[in-house]
Amino acid sequence: MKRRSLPDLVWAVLGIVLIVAVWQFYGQLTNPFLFPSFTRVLGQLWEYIASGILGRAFVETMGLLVVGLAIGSVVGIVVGIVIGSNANLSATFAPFIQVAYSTPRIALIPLVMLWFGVGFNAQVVLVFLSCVFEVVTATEAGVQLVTKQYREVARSFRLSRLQTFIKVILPGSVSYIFSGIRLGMGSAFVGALGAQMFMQASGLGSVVKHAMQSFRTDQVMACVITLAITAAVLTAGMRRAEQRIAPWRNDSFDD
Amino acid sequence: MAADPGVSFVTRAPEKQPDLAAAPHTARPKVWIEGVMKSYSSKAVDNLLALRDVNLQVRPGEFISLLGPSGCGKTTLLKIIAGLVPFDSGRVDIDRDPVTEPSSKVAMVFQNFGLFPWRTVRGNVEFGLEAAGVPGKLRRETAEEYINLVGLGRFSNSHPSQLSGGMQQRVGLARALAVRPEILLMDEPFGALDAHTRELLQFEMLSILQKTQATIILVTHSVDEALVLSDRIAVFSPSPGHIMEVLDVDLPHPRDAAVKSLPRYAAMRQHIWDALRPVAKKDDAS
Amino acid sequence: MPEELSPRTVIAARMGVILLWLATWEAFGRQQPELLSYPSLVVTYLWSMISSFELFSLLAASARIFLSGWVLAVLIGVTIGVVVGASRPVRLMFEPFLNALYSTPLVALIPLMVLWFGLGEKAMIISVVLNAVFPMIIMTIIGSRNAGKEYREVARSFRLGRIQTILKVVLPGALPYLLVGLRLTTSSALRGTIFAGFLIPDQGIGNALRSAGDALNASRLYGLIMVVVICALLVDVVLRRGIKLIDYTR
Repeated sequence: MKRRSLPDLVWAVLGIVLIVAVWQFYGQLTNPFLFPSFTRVLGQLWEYIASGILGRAFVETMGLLVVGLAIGSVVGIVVGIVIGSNANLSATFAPFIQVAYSTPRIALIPLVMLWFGVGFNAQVVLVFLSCVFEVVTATEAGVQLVTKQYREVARSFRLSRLQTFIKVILPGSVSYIFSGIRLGMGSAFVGALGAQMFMQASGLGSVVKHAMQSFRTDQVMACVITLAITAAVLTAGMRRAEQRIAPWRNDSFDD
Repeated sequence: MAADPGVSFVTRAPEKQPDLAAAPHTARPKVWIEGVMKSYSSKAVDNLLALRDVNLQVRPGEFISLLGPSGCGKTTLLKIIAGLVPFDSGRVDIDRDPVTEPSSKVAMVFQNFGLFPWRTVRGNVEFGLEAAGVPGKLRRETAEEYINLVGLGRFSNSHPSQLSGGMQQRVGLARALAVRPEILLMDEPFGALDAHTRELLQFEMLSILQKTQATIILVTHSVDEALVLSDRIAVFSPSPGHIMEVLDVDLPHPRDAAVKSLPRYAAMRQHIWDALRPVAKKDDAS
Repeated sequence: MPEELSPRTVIAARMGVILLWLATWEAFGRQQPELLSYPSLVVTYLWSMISSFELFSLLAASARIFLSGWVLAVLIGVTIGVVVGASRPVRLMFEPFLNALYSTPLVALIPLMVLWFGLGEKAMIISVVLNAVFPMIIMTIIGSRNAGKEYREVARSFRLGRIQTILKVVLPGALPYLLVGLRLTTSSALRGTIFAGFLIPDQGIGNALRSAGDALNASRLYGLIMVVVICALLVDVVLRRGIKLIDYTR
């Protein structure tokens, strides 16, 4: 990675200062209940933190996200590999996966509630459904690409099927799998918030919804700031892990 | 030295029925190709004939080039010898054993290198040895030996993405040589390189390959490359691929860039161009 | 490598999967109709929704919101992307901020839109825009930056003006990225439409889904989910066709 030169960072800081300044200025001009100023939102954020509400909600949301995403990733990788290594399976099931992938999984909330209730397990099912097809699709595509790219090399060195899989397909697909998990994470996050808003109230989803119901724009904004920081940290962490595990792949545009 | 560029060459039309007795100076052919036919079916074309009645005998230890315009089936033939592509009829033997799958006697160098970006140079060179079940320590030593042979000793721990194209192809060569193949197949190994690198690497590869006993089959569309490197050249005509003639390259060894200024070189070059020209013209017309 | 099946066999296999699924559903569903319902009942129910024009009005309401939100998101996204991508200082100032919003689950902003614009179509459309606009912005920035790098000198050597450069060089050059953005924007807009419908009681599919679930009306719920799936599939097909038409790289 190239080290960020100082002027770049200066510009970024300048940008944030500008946004915050405009926000603050506008917030002080208008009705604070409708558009709270930046400092007001910060105050609310602090109140959330101090009261322990935010911490508790954060842990609940992260727990749901991590469990759902973990199950979704494992299942997605296995299914993706199986389908990706068999052209007939891939041809048969591709349209179904495509349909599931393009359907907004959030629409399944009532269905999941009907089948599994509203508790944590039901919420995990929703998060799982939100991310699993992203991982399947990316893994499948990775396995197929790598197979196509290296089939002749592996065969010319007389690798067995198992050897080809372990030494060529698996390491070659890692970066694709990671992109799938990163994409799935975004979708899983939405699923987790939806689950916590509309199923059993818990976590950040219920905090946001509660804020809406009590007409607290400052609280909603405080939650969105929390979510934005969390999402940014998670995405950066995923990218770093990706860089560490698959450093040879440096195309940043794959989602 | 042949002074007169107008002399005829030792060329033979490809034999219909190859006869061992007809080539007394050779031992048993290393690779025996007889009456090979190959057609492809795709969505666009049905049963496109890629190779028509191809006959060729590759002698042990020789360097032979398959030369022809793109799409003439020379790469298909190479992959058939490698056991990577099945053929419709005819026979392909290596040391009298029919080729049905990749043989352990064969190693291949790929046009786009086929290196694994997640492995280091050493890891890439070890690849074929791992597949062959060579134990760790020996594998490592062998890999190092061949990495040194291709002059990349300092880059053992680098990843392919950190190397230039020419260096990457040297890794590809080391990987193939490390399994100590009896036959080395090279599919346009310099095709992805720029002109300057290509020329440098050609001569370097020649000196590296002199240290091995392997029989080498090279696919190329460059007349100069074929002339500089090979002992014999099989000239292909396209659609369907067919060997027009096989000629002996009687240029002195060891060869370097100076070989290109020999009158004999110019004469052979002219001869091959003339053989390929009607082909090229037909190509333009269609 | 296993023998590859012919296209006809593959289609037969797909049909087989669908039939097997329907048969299993029908068999189990008849035993537990209040939880699972069953395909023939769902189809009957859907037909009654179609003949009473209820489905039509549901779809019309959701389509209006989705399409307006989508069009606005694409237009706004490309505009912001071009403006931010065109100048280095502007990009450096705002890209980190936009990137953070891009990865944020912005469904959390829907409650704010409810507070600002009330429970109505306006809040829904703006919610859809907010959810869908950031992929478009980010991909336009990346694309126009790359295209700018690649073709700026060509454009300058032909003495193109700034606007001309953007219209004739930067945007067409960025097309592959714009198309990726378009796909992401479309799926986010669909998701936003449904999500907003859960939160804002409208005349559309989202709200209908939710109330069917609340009423434990299994047949209605499955029917509506099928409708959502078919709509998503239709949108996907139309989008792919459209992309094929304008994507010069294929």
